[in-house]
Amino acid sequence: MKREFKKIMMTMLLVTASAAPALAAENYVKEGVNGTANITVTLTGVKDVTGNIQAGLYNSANGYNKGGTVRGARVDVVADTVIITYSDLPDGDYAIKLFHDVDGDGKMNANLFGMPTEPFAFSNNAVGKMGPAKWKDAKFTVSGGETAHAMKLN
Amino acid sequence: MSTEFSRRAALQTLAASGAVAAMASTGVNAFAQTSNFDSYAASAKKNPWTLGWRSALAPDLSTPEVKLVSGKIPKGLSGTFYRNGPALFERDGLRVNHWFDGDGMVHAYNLDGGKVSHRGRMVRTGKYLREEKAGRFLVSGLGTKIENPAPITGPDDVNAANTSVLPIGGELLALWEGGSAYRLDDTTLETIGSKTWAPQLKGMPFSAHPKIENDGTVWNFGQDFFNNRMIIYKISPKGKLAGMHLLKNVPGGMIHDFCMTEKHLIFVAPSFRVSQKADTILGMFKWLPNQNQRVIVVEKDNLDNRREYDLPPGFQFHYGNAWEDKSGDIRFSVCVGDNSFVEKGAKALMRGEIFDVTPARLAHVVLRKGGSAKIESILSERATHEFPQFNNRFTGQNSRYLYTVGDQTKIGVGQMSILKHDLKTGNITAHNYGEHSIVEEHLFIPRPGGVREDDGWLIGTSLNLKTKATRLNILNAARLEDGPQAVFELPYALPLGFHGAWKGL
Repeated sequence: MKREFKKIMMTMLLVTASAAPALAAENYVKEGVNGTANITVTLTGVKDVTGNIQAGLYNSANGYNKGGTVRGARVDVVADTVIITYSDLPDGDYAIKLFHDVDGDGKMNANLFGMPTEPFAFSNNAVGKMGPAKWKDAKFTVSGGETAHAMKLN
Repeated sequence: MSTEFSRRAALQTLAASGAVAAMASTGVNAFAQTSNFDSYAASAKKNPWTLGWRSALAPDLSTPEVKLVSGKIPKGLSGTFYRNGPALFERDGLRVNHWFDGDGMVHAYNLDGGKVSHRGRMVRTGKYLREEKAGRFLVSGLGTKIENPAPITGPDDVNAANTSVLPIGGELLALWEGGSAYRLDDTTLETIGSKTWAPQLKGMPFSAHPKIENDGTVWNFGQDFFNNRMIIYKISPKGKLAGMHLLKNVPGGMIHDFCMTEKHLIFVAPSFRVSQKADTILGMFKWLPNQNQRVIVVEKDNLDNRREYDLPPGFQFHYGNAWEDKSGDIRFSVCVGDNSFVEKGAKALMRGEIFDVTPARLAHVVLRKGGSAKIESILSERATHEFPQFNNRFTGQNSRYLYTVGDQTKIGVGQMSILKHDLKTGNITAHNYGEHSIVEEHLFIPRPGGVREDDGWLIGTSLNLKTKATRLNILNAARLEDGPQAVFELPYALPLGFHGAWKGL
């Protein structure tokens, strides 16, 4: 998972032109994945109001497992609830992996045993057993218009 | 009519009526066990020993002046005796399956001016606070499977902080072996929060058996038995991280404790190893009776420098002292048994039942510099021997005396004596507290200014089943056979605990 987020981060650095400064957010949009649906994630459970949330959106089990995002978002944490939006998506199944980059170093920190030491969450608030939550537990269906999705950091 | 005969008769009757077949087809087990809760409650009505596994009466206990039963506190002994142990076993009608799954309560016995006060507080771990709010157990522990569990994101979500204590850096740490230490105020015992030694060590296990050098430097480990590795910690006398090392290729046997010479750390991976999938951590371990124990010796000054040995199959919780002679041979003492207590005995106790476990025997091991290892002697008598202690001024050096809790009571639960082993002569002296007592760990406290290895006191608790109260005992370590120099009795019984630490005034 750490590697995937690193990839999102690197991709984001390349597409800063598409960031929306007014929202203090930067977004990554994969070309060729376009539609009319929007997802608005309301993230709660923020313990430290600092750093940012890095959130990857996936539209297939393969992408989810191997780190192929269709959208990436980085949103500064300025309150204990964070709103993350993904726009102009085609209908389909999606899942989100996100973490709170508390120290803002662009990485999901882990201890020497590889256990995450920064808060994270999966869509549907799915929980993994000795690892990330599975695609089948994290996926949700988007069909047109606005989809609201609530998530909570661990 | 014997029980066996009557059961067989009952079975025959059932079989004849076709009831067994009918029950089998509906999935009903004719011999389903009563719940732990009911089984313990029924046993508690008739078996005084069950008091040792009753939850603490309240989450916070305090006795400003503990009643003196006999004797007086010897001159020169003042300070605080801390202890930890599982003390909350039941929530919402459910009683945990395994002794080690009870939430920890830390105790402070303050000895000052010839008087003793007692304070006990449940450690407010994340687990305890969440379960207190929910009114039920939320997470499965070592040996208890909880239905409809709350999500777990790391070992600290199941941290019971129930095994030992370490006074360091002006705080008291409550220790568990699978997760972070918990910081407590060393006077009020109020919980401050979990201990993070360094950002990259956050949430890592910090075992309940740190070893302390004469200058106060602390060594400890945390095991990741799923990935055959451990983290080694070196902590300065003031409580700051002084070093860390990831030790790989450590077989995934349950390592509870270790021992230390002046130059080396010694870890033994027992024959109880992670071998299978299961609902509980304990269930993942399997006793492998033909699997040798693996001994790993690493050099303190160069933790990559290691040598390894095999020892016959076994399992142990605790070690005595360890030292190295001039030829480079390492010797250590260990209370070695098998898996029966951790897998069966500690579960039976929670049901108010007694399981006849294989006794832990006091063994003395030599690791030859040349590469062979063997058990030089093993003491079969007066076993189980457990909770080995010695004069910690001799940690890592050749030491003569070892103190253990031993002599099983006739009822078959717990030990009733504190014993002193003279490793040079093989002599044993002891104080027997009597059949109505279950004796807990006794620490050796050196007499200030004392030189002789056994110049000091033993301090430890015992549960008196006649008075139904916990006692604090102080003995002259040089003359155990004289019995306690002072005995104090709390106005309540505490559940039996595990380990303690002393902080002198």
